[in-house]
Amino acid sequence: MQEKQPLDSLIACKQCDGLFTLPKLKEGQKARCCHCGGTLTVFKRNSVERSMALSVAGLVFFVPAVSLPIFGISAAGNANEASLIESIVLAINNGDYIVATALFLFTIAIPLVRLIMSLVIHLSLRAQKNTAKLRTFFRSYQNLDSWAMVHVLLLGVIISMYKLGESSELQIGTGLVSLCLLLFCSTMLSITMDHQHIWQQLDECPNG
Amino acid sequence: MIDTYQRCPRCHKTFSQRKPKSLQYTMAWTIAALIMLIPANMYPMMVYYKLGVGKASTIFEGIIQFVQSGMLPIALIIFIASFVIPLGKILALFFLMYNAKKSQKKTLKQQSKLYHLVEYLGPWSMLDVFVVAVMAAIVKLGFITNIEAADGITYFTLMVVFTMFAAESFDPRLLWDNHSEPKE
Repeated sequence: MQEKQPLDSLIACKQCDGLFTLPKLKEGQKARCCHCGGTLTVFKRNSVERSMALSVAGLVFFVPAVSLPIFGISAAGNANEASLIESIVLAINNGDYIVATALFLFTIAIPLVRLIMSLVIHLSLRAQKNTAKLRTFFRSYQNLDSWAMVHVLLLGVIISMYKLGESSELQIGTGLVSLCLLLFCSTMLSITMDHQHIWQQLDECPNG
Repeated sequence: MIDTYQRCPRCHKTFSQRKPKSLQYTMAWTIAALIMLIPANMYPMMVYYKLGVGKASTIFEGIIQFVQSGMLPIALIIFIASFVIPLGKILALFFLMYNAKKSQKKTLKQQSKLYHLVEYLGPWSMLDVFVVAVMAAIVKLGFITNIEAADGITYFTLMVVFTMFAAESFDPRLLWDNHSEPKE
């Protein structure tokens, strides 16, 4: 082809495959593709520390979010409350295996795995332990992004509360509060995590 | 050529220039989702037992119930999440696949944005599933009121998962391939 540019200075748009020269970004700036408007790269502020802090916080909130009751209902003298894990067990007992699997995967397993993965990646990079396996690890982390559905679960809970609230009394459980905090941490994590920065660090590793 | 696997010289991981057999996989998953759409809407999503009497309701009946009790915003949300979004995703995927074969340059940027929208809206169709699952777990008040999940939910879950797989297997770069200049 024409002039040879070092590969490190090029970046391809993920959506339209347009090739651009990697711009030198200042902290907090974002580069956009001219053709299709997709984000090319962002230089995030203080990414590593904030991401690690948020991962740990998310993990702390995870246990109560999943095991403590989400909300309780009482009508005509009877009362009942359930946590996320109890909902899954109930679905299994009822024979709805696919729903139970979907619930477990999308609201418990995948969010948990993503939090742990994010922590592992940041710690490994800190400890300078870069290997080719870590790259596959990080790539799987990015692929799992659209499969964590805690925000959908939360909206579902709110809607159920709305519907049930008109005929019976509701009690908000600690599980719901923890779920909200967990969602907050996961969302902030996806904002503070600088993928481009991590890839650059992974690139610097010797063939391992 | 574009579909064949190559090995990365640095870490030996296989990759290809475009997602291999992207259109075939996307078409297969989209059709599977379309097939699942039918039982998802015909079978009831949940059974509401009130004082021993059970009343099964499909998604549509559930929405009508919300409208009748005056909770219009919720009815709208569920209508959008359970009807508009899945159907919209399937139609959008058909449209995108058609454009990957022969597209019009004028709307290329919108097509890219459409794909981005389909990908982003993926999980939200699971909303109704979560609503029913949560209600079935919590509303267990013995004889007075009892909610149980029914068959429709399984098909609905499968349909949503299939549309998400379809969106993932579609390679948006195929949309742009029709307009790039031929290389040497």
